Order: sequence, then structure tokens, then C-alpha cells
Amino acid sequence: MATRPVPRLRTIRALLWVVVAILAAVLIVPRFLPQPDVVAGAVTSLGPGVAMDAPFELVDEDGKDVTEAAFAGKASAWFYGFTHCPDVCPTALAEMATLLQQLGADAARLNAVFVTVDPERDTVDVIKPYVDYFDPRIIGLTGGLPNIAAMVKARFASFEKLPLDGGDYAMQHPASIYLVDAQGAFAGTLDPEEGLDTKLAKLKKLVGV
Amino acid sequence: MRRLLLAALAAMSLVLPASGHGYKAGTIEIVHPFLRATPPGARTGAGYLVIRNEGSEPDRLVGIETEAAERVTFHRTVTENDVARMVPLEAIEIPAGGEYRLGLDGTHAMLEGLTAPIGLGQLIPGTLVFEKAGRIDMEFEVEPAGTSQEDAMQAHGH
Repeated sequence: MATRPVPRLRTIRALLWVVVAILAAVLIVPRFLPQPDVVAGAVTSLGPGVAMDAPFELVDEDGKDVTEAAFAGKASAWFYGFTHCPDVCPTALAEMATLLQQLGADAARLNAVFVTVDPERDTVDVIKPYVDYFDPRIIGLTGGLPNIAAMVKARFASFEKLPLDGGDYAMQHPASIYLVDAQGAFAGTLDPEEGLDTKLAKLKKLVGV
Repeated sequence: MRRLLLAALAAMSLVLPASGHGYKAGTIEIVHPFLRATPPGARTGAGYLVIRNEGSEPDRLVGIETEAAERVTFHRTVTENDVARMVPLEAIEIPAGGEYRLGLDGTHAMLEGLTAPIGLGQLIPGTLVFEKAGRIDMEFEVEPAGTSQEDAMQAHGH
């Protein structure tokens, strides 16, 4: 009588250890594995320090070919919009013009860039007078749609065409302005809901003032 | 001549300017309708205004007509996960005894197919079409390109 429960208890104890081992493997081990968004160097989501200087080939507002190299070594602020945008884009560009004024001489340490997500309509002839109206220091970029799509995707943003009544269309586009430091790393955003003071403080920090 | 003058005065009194830049027709009051100045070559503009309804029935602004654009539509910009997109609004509802501030919460009138750039200092004539109050002729003032409804309300003390 006294010997029979012992093997049974041993079996239960062994089974419990197996359960513990399985739970440990499932619950604890993954915490020490690389996070899913940083697998083998392929970053799939935006975060501080993420590289934002992937190569691109676009056209600047003067019709010249331009690559990421033109913006290397200097902090930059990137807005993705379109000139047929009635509300959000003029607001962002007018605010950027005000911020450049408020930065004064330090504005020279920043590239403020407006990339159209509607190159079909925003040709060089359209984009230059548009951005220069707000501030000639704002750089307008356009180019081939596949080039722009690849560039925007590489910078963790997206856009899409939205049909309007009457045959026209609008673009769905990122609301924020993306900040990139002089080393080409992501350095936060200017959120449309933030006040101008907050935005100015972020830009000052970005350019090292 | 005097009769013509009287008729003109009578016609004007139907659409009395409210305090500051505004219009009043019946129980509907329009406060500071404005367009944003647009860059050269821009094909799209935006308009904003405050509508007050002192009546006991709600009313709807169903359209804006102006020679400045091919078409005027109402939209609200909705931002989700940092993606901004415009959602069409069929009409602007003004509750009885209430007001609607077009320009707050991402709402705006979109002027599609501008016939000419909208310049600072211009007055742009237009007609607001209400379901009940009918047609109200007015003029949009022009504010700088980035002006929001909040900016305009602060500047004009509304």
C-alpha cells in the first residue's frame, strides 16, 4: 500500500516539470529574442534612431534630379502632401514658414522639404510656385510615382488616391512632419495638433540650438 | 429715382450686415466668411465661416456658389494613425438656436477648380444656399494662407 502512490507522485511531479519547462519556453524565452520589428536589421516600424536616409531618385522644384545625398549631413523636416489639398497642407506649409522665420539664422541648419504624393498633377511647374509662396527656403520634390511611392514607404509613411464626387480626386497622406537628424536618423514628428511653441522647441533641439 | 433708392434700401435691409464682417437673413446669421489666399497656380482653395441659427427649426447649408471656383464641396479631414484623409459632408447642419463653425474639427468648404488665385485683400462674392433660409448673397474676405477658424475667431473677437 505504501509503495504504490510513490511512482504515481513521481509521474505527476515529472509531468509538472514538463509543464513548467514548456511554459518557461513559451513565456520567458521570447523576451530574450530580438523584437519582431528588428529582425536581422530589417526595421519594419518607426522609432527613435531608425534610419531615414534610404536612397531615392526624385526631381527638385527646379527640375533637377535629386537624391538622398543632397540632404545628408543636415537636419531635415519632411512633409508629404499635395497642392490640391485645401486644408491640411497649406496649414502645415504656412506653419513651417512661420517656424523658419522664428528660427532666424538657425533656419539655415534645417532642410524643410515638401514631397508631393500627387506627382501626376504636381509637376515641377506647379510645385515650385506653390512651396515658394509659403517660403522660398522650403524645398519641393516631385518625380515619378513609383519613385515617390518607394521613397515614402522607405520612410515609414504611406499615401493613397481617394476619388471625389465629380471625377476629381484627393490624396490620403501623412498628417505629421517627420524630423530627421543630421546623421539621417528619425528624430520624432511635428504633430498637427501641437502648438507652434512645441514645434519650434522640437526644431531647435533638432538643429542643436 | 427716389423710388429706386427706396427699393434698393429695402433690398439691402433684407440682408443686413451683422457686427463686423457678417450677414443676417431672417433667423440665419453668417459671421466672417473667409477664404484662404492661395499660392500662384493653385487649383484648390478652402473657405470657412460661422453660421448662427436663431430660429426654432434646424437648417442645413446645402451648397455654396461662387464664380471663383468650378465647384464647392464640404469635407471633414479625419486623421487616424497619422493618416489624413477627407470625408465628404453632404450638408452643414445648424441646430435650432445653435451655431456651426465651419473650420473647426477639420471641417472646411473646398473650392475645386479655382478660376484665379485668391489674393489677400480681395472680396470674393458668393451665395450660400440653405434648405430653409434659401439663398444668401455674401462676400468672402481673404485671409493669409494658413489661417484657421480659431485664428480668425481670435482676431475678429467672435
